[in-house]
Amino acid sequence: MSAIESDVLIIGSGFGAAAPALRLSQAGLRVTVLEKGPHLEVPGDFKQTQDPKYLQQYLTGLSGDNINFTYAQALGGGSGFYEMVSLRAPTIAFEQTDVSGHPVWPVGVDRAALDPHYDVAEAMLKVDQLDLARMPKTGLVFSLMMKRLGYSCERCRYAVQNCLGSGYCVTGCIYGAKQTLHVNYLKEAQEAGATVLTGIEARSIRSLGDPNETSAASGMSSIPHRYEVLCRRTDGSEALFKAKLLILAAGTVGTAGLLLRSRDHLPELSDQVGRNIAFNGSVKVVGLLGEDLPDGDMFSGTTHPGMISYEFLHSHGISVSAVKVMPLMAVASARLRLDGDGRTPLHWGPDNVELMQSFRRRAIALLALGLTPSSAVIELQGDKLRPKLELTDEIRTYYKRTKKLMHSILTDNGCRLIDAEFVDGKGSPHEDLFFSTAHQVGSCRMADSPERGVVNADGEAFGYPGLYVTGGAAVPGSLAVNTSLTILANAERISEGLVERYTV
Amino acid sequence: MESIQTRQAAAGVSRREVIRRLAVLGTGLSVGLAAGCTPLKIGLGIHAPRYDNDPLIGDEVLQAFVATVIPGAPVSDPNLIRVFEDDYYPLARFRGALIADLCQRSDRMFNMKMFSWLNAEQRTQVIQNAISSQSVTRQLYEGAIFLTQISCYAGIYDASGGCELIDFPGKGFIDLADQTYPAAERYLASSLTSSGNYS
Repeated sequence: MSAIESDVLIIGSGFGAAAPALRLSQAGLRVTVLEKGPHLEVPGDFKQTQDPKYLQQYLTGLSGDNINFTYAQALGGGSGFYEMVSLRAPTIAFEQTDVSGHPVWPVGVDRAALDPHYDVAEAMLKVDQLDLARMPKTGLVFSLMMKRLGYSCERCRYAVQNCLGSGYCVTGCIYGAKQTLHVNYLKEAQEAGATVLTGIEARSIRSLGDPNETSAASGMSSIPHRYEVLCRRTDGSEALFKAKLLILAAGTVGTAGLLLRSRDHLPELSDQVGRNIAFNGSVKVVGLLGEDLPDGDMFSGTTHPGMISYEFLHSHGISVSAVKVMPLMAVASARLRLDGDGRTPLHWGPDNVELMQSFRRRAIALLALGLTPSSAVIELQGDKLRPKLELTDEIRTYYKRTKKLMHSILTDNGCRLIDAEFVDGKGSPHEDLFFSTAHQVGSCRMADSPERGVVNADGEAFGYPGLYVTGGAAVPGSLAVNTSLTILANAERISEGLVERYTV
Repeated sequence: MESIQTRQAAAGVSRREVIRRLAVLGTGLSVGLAAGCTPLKIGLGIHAPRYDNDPLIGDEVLQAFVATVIPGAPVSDPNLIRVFEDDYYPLARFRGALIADLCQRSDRMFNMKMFSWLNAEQRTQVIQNAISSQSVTRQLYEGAIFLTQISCYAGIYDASGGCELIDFPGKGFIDLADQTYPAAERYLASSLTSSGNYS
């Protein structure tokens, strides 16, 4: 099989891939981007629908012990299907330490170091605060609830222009208002010469010779092809790519999976691959609005309701925002139950209909994102990946304390609580905590040594010069806010270093 | 007691498989809620063939099932039972088994050979009885309830129509004036930042 050669091969096309694709192409390098998922024509391929057949073309998940990770597999990664919330991680997120007292982030990577790259990322995505005149009702109701309790609340920042508020952000914006990576980074990268290929899954990596012999090399012309990647197309055929620089940005799950499958060929890789995954402490509560609160609206306006509170960032390590729940998702929970209501049946029949009829205007859902430890793992079992989260006392305490606080926000506003009863694989309620998130980061994290992580602060793998991780897999800790902007800013930071090292 | 249709667990039907990727929208609550999904293992039913061979009987029984799970749903809308024969969902293979089980329970509990002949209270008891039985049957029924609900509430076969029952307007967009409130300043809490980013 003949190999397709590039200066730079990038695996993935989401937030972690977009920055190196653009910056290295602009610097004159031959860049090839491989995306496992399908091509997406934006906005023409997007639909406003709740039909699972459509959604499952682009979205997938990985479920395991006590945790579920969800992510997109399509050109542009999650940028086509996220809520557009684009916030900088607070300083406190970069100051986290692990159980042994070690800083979670490597030396030199903190909010101050990322701020210039946040600036660049925000400019590229046209990020701005949501105009108050466009604030969805649910966001205003949440702000009012916080105001009544003497708490603060902020207008969120979004990557959107000329939003019509159709309410279908997460199925893809058919109006082209969402600033997905297709309309900025990927478009400009291709204009600068990058080749973007879809429907190609990287299956394993092999080093060519001893990459360490080339570790001192800087100019691209003096560097040989150091890595080859065996790939599989969607039609089942194989393809082989060779590159001088190999950049992994296939997300927390995809990057870990690729490196775990390649371990035999990359024996010097850190044993931390697949470990240290942060899940951003996602805790949700739901209630019915108190009688003296105005209506919200679950089904219109931006999918994220527009307001976030940092009031509890230092006391509880969390941000709190309202979230919307479209009918498909409300039903997928299957077991919405009014708190204290002992009648049966409750998740179907007249009681459920009554609850669902209140849902659009009178339900309020709150989401906490928190600085939970980077303690989840992904293991390779045969050819299958399986995530696991050990429910430590720290995590249990976090959950209990966070849920209590969020319930108090609801009940102190006269809201009636709704319990979402999760069910396990046998159709029975979960017997223990179960976290579900789309904000997973880590798995191949940046660290100061191979004993603590997989790549250094520059994103380069310990023991493998020229092999980089720039995506969410490199981000070492929970952020307490949505992760996309930080993943992009960190990828910009690493890309700046790559350009300086390899093209100057 | 498990019915014969469901007792012989021979195939894996994963409700988790059906909806796990619904959970990937990154929408906070929705992600969490959708994670609670159920691998459904039921038997390849040895159900009475008449339920497969006579679509009218099957449709009548399934319409009654929908009406019981979602009272007030427009049961004459063919989209609401379409989900039971949509090959995209694993339950389509067990449509006949579900119909047969509903009718056999009706016969056993109320001496009525058709589930659809029962009144609403009796139909509710039949479904409750199935859900409280052993896991294989329970998972079959939980899967059927789930598909009924997404078919109706989420309007998966009618993106434009949405679901009138729960005031879900479907696709399109609502006028800005109806999305927000005038004089929105009165709702605002104090602010800790000038930009929305906390340092």
